[in-house]
Amino acid sequence: MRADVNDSNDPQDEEMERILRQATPRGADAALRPRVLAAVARQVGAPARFRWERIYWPAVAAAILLGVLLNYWVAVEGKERLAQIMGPPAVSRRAAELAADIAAITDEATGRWALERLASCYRPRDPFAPSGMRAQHQ
Amino acid sequence: MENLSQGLAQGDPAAFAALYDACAHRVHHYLVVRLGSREDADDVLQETFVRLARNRKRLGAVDNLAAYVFTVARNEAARLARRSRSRRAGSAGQENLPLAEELFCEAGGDEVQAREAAESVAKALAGLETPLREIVELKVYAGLTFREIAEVTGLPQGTAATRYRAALAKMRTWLVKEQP
Repeated sequence: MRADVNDSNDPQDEEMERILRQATPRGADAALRPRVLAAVARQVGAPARFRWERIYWPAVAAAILLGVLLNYWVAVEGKERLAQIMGPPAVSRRAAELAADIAAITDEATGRWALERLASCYRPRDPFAPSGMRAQHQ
Repeated sequence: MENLSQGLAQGDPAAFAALYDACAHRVHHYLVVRLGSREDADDVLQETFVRLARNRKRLGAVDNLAAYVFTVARNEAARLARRSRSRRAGSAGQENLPLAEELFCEAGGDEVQAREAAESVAKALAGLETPLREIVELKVYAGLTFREIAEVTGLPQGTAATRYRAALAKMRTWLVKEQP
């Protein structure tokens, strides 16, 4: 037995250890060695097992990204379908009034031109536009 | 030992044979003490080596191979014990203790005095609680240091030493009582 830092120097403990060591431990039977080594050889020769835990977090990240992209696609698709059903987006009342004032002061063609320009600036509120742009459009 | 670790990490069969020759008998004895049956110990020893082979890449970085092998064997024994417990769930969980012949060579021998001594040691070991018996086994028969025992069992080194001395005291008391 190897010397150890926590070994007791108590003669009674040493005597007890001597009694214990008098009994020879029975090890594994000789027939077990080839059985174990054959199992080891099979394991070493086996193809590496697929480890699910290696792809767990990348799979979760990919699923979240896919969810975000699908959500965006559904929103855009819904908006386009709504535009097809309802026609082009309405011009805000303020823009129409401003274009009418311009037409009254100048002429009909300038009024239409002003309405087209104002319509592109004063779109109704876009729920998907970033908040800064939304404020600018209003 | 470093060469052995590298050989194991590369899956060299000769390295596994060398590891088996170096520690299988000690591990097997430990498993018989823990599980109470040589058949279970055989199975768990085989599963221990298969697990070592499966995770062989890690073996290259292991500092103390002997302690590592005992740790894997201990985990495998605990897994088998859990499975056995769940199989006999409902019935009273009586601990399985090995017979003297299963533990010591002398217990099955012809020499009466040696046989009786081995039987006494086996009975004294059986009289200990499992945590104490495990430490005596690892210290005396597996030949591990307290540092290695702490590594294997997850106990602080001082606690392992204290438990070992308590176990020796208990066995001494038992032997004095039984064989005055």
